[in-house]
Amino acid sequence: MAQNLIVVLPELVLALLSVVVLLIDIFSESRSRLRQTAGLAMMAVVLTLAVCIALWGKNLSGYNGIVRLDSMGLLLSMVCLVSAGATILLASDYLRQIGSEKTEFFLLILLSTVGMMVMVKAGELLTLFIGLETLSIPLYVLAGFRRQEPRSQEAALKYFLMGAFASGFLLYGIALTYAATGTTIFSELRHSTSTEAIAGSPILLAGLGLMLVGFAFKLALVPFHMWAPDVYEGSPTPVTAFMSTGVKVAAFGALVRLLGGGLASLQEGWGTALWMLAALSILFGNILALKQNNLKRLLAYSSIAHAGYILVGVVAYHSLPTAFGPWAVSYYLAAYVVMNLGAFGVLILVQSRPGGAEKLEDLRGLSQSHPLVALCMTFFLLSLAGMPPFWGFVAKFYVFGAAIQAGRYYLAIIGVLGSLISIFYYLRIIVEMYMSEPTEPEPKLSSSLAVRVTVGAAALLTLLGGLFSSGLADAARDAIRMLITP
Amino acid sequence: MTVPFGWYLFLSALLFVIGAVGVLRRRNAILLFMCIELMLNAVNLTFVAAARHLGQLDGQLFVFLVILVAAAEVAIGLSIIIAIYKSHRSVDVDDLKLLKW
Repeated sequence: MAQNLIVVLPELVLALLSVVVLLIDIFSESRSRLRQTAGLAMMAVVLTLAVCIALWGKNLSGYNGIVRLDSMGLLLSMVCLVSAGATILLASDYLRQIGSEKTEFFLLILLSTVGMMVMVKAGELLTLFIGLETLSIPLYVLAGFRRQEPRSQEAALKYFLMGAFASGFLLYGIALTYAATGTTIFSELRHSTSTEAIAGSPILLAGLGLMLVGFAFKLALVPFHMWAPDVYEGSPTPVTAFMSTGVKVAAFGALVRLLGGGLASLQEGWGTALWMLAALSILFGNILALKQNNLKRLLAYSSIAHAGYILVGVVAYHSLPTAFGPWAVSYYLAAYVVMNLGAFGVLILVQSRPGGAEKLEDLRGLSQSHPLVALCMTFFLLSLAGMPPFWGFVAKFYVFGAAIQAGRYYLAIIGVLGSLISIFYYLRIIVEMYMSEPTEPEPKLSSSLAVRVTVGAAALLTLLGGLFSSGLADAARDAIRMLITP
Repeated sequence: MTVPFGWYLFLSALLFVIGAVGVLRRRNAILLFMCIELMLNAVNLTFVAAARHLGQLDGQLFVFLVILVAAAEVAIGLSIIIAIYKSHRSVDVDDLKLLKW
């Protein structure tokens, strides 16, 4: 009993705290409600982070294996919390700028984070699904948070319809898997799919395929990516930052657990399918990003390509004990979250000036008016492009290393080719910032401390993560080594 | 005489495909939404049939979770559609083209 509660302790703490935040918010008569609620939400995130750190090193499973508390779950939970915390910091200023005093924003972020944490710890299919819905439903609302803004409404509807459609596929896949094997718990699935008769069953294969389609929709992998650029463009920028980081962490965490833990014996089937999805996402994501002029759309396509790189790590995830893949995936996710949040933070800063927009030209001459902001953005872009010595380089190195270790040479080559293409459009932004004259004399950016601190911290981490990569990598490897023994 | 398990699977697959094709073909947001509900109900049928076939109760239990999630989705989805209708006076997804689809 007590063990069950310990296993879900971080989720429990965050869910309860978010209710507390809601109640305080309702009865508050403070004049700076927005700031107050943001502070409270931030405190909830930090407390939950502390709980995760206190539980570090434990390897438990609760409720008959439905939820698992292990290093990968905790690590990815913490990455989700970092993403939520950064979003809260970025949003408090943004909300004031767009003239919205709606404090529900922070509550929805917290609830969505609970769903993410459930998802990365799920040891059972229906739990995974409930986590996914808990994470998605607040996000549908957040996407349409600028209710009067037609683009935001449109983004919300598209995200909702696509999300619900994807859930349908995932759920039908779960139902067929259950029909074929009689269980939804990963450890039992692993056991029952090891027999020839069940592993070859067409119902199970159909179930696996449908689940993969559901995941591919959620992760915006090519060819299931059409919604992503639209939704990313239309949503409020902090929400886009949250969507492109937290959701990916949660879905990849769950995917690694499901495929590596539950359906490892079907590796031949899902390996090939994911191979193709990864190659297509890397190539098309990067090629389509080349002609984008809107920075949010550009980052959307770049995030599609990054999902492809991460998927390379999942494909490489074959024989468990020595495999390089699972921690390469976790490591990449951590690096990706930091650099992507940083890039969106700079975007929010640029949007904060009067009449500021999100076009490439809006960054013109940024290095002259705001040299530090331009430097931070350069760090993030070079890191996203996978240039040494930044964190993104190390992360890519490990993911492609995992692919080579697993004998997937072509995938590693496609990954490197994709990174080469990506350098072009990331450099285009840097050139715009450094080599062209500013269009208006002195664009005044927001002086919000929270946004600046977030961007600065992300830039520092992007640099330090690259410089001290070996220590971090060892820590991540030790953490994941004892992972997933369902 | 009992209906064989395969027939249930066939029926639910048929319902699911009707729903999925509907989502891709229809342009009215409400109809799209109903097609998604049809897909979820195909899932429910599969769960119940599988539970009976396997002699377990788990599958029937899962149906409650699915219904619960579907209800939450309806609440959010309909409010988004109403917000769209208030500003566009239409719920046709083809009218929404500010963002390139």
